[in-house]
Amino acid sequence: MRVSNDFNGGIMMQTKQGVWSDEIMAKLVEGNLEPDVLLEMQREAKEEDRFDHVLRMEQKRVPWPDRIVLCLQENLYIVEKANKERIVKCLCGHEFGDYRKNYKESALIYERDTDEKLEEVFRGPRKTNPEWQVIREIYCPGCGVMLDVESVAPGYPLVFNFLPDFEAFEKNRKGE
Amino acid sequence: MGKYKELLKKKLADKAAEKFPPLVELHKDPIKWEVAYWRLLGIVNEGREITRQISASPTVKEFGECVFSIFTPTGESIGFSRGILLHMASMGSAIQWMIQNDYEEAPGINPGDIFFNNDPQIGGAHSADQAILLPVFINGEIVAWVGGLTHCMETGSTEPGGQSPSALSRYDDGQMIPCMKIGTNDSFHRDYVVMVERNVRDASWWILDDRAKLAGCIKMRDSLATLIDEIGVDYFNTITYEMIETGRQAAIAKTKKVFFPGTYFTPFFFDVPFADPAQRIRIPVDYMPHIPCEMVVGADGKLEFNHEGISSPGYHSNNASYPCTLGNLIYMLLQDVYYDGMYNNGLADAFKLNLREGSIANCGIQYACSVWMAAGCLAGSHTRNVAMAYYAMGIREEGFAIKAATGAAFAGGIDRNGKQFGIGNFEMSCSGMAAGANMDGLYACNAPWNPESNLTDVELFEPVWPLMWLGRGVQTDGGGYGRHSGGAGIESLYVIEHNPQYIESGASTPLDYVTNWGMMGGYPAAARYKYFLTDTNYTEAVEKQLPLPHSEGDDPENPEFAQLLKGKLLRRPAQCAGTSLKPYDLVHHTTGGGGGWGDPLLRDPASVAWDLKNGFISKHAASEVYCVVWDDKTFAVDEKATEKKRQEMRQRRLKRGIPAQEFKKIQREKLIAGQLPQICKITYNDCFKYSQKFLDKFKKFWSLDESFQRF
Repeated sequence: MRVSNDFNGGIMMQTKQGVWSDEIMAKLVEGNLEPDVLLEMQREAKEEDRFDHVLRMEQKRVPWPDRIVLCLQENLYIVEKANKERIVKCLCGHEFGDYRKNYKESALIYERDTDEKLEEVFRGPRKTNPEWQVIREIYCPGCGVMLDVESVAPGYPLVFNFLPDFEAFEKNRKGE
Repeated sequence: MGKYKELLKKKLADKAAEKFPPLVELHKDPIKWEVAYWRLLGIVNEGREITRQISASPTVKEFGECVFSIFTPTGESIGFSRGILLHMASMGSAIQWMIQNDYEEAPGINPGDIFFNNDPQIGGAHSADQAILLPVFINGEIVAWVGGLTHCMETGSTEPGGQSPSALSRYDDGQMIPCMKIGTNDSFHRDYVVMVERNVRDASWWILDDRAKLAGCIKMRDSLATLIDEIGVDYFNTITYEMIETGRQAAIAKTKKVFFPGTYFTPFFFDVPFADPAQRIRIPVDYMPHIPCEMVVGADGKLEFNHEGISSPGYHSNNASYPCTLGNLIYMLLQDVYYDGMYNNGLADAFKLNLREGSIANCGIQYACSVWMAAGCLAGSHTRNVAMAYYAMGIREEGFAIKAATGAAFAGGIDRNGKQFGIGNFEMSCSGMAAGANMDGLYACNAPWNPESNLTDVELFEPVWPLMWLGRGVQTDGGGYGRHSGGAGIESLYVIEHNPQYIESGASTPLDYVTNWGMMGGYPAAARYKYFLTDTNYTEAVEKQLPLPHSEGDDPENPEFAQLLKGKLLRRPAQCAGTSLKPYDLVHHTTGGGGGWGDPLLRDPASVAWDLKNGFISKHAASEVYCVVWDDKTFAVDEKATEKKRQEMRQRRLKRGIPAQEFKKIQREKLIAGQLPQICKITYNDCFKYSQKFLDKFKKFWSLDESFQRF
């Protein structure tokens, strides 16, 4: 792993410990990393403390005090409440409930199941046939951000994207 | 039992018991070991380059649709070249098939023998994937195999071009040669060449590719013999298995480091609209396969891929053999995760693939595999799973939404010289890349199955294909919308030249389905279709020097070429059956785009204006999807008005969105009343039949009665 680089107006990309600077990591977390730095990061070996570093940066970014234990996806976090309960929470502060349940079951659903609704996004032949496929948009009830888009057959259950295994993660960390 | 059959049996038993070789020589002298590994990689890449230089086919020479490898005597890949990574599993499984089917006894395996396979049930994706395999002997013992695989542009399938979109069974897929000895003493048997000459439309691609592969393989065999002479056969035999084991360990260690443990899930559907009378399919049945993809990341770094509830195969060309599906998973993992590991069989030992025998992605011998969409879609869904696993671990420079399920055009007939032709234009090698957490998807650059492929100049195709390109460019609105937008594929518009007979077909993700999912609030890429403009006034337009069309323009319902030229506009599914065309008819097709990433309302308005100015998105998308307000002349963004418009859209979402529990109640009532399109009922019933787990999951989610079994 390289010790340092000097791209982007002199921002030191890595310290001697082989960790990306907070400035770089803040951009990574915001999703606005410059292409040349992104490429450099893709080429380098992944640092051991990446998970914790990203969590620290995300914690600085959110407008609420709950401790983030995992970034579930864009705009959604699993946080630990004072009573140790782990719940899914949006960047806006809306809380969805226990992380072991699909957050979508507490979200707003908009199904594009007609030609008219589909054509608002996909014009003419670029839309799907709603007899075969619907586009489901999942919104946060707190802020209206679009959290997921499903393209599934009519009647398909809501897709549970990801159930994290915290126990396995801790075992992995302890080297068990 | 043959010697190598016994050895293979032991290897497979060891693998099942998770007994792997110790890394003795690696630790004893890592430099010597590493040098040997890189020399092996040099040898396989040398074989590939030699073949590319000799091959006459643009597919091999320009696209680089070939791959070379060195294998252990029992068919495990030690080192792979660049190229079609899909086939890491193909050639090795063909070697193992020959060993298990007693080829040592008959037809015998001897120095100088040439074996050929293009049977996808044994190894490969479809009959166009053609492998040549040579055993390498030292002192009378097989110490290795060398192999090369190329994609052939014509196989004698029902429709021309090497891949038959409307193939309904294996027997429509073209000439199959399942692990046949086609030569001895490094020369092809004359009767084999005659068979090929008489069974395919234009045998030159097949025969010339065979010669090119043989040259590459012989060079690899010679170079390997030199290396073994230098390092000793015993040392070679030991380190080859150590290299594979190193590959396995490297893969597991990487997964452990970059993926958060847990269960990830992405389902996939696609359509096969074969009941459409315009398709004129002889078994006119619609299919809508379901491919549910679950990836489980364990604490130990091992991966498990499950597909409970997967559809059955059918009478269409999108079924996939097990080696094909395995190969698809391997190329996805190799590119998205294990790119810094070993290029060998080791990574295949680092995960478990669970796939119902007799399912669409592990189909039986009778099913057609020309287009093998099932395997590509399966790998595509796992791409999304991988991206979620990276994201959770904070690795946000990696991971993508679903890349384009690629599509191309295939054609055949009689060319300008009165000669039969069959050809596939590999423009699909430049479909759209998906977006990631920190980047837009690249335009016109993606071929998931072969990251080394390249879009050939049209001038290389025009001499061998009786048509002329009128235009080729990035498709407007081709990528999925998102905070980071998915990359669009290309569109091509061409005119049929003055040949007497021409058949056009096309294979890709068909009309009615948007398959390349976005992520984290990003939209999937647009559905695909194909346009024909027949009975045109093209010659009149040329004579009168009227403006000629070059693209579809930005209104897909009213394409530019249909405005500039007179003619009959026909829209077909992208996966359309052979369609007969005449001189001066026009064909328009696209290669597909990648999914978007993140809520489109979070996209930088200046990036939206830039996309619009450069023709990558339409006004419709900029205004209605991204909710940006701009000046039509300068493309300057009105930031205040944009923010207002976006805020209004968020309010609209809050108003039109239904609380999930209410949504479930409404949907449940519809399901109980049987208000579901027939195609959905057929698909679900098939999935329920073969998976109690899927049935239980479905029933639980919709709170259906315990007695519910099918629609």
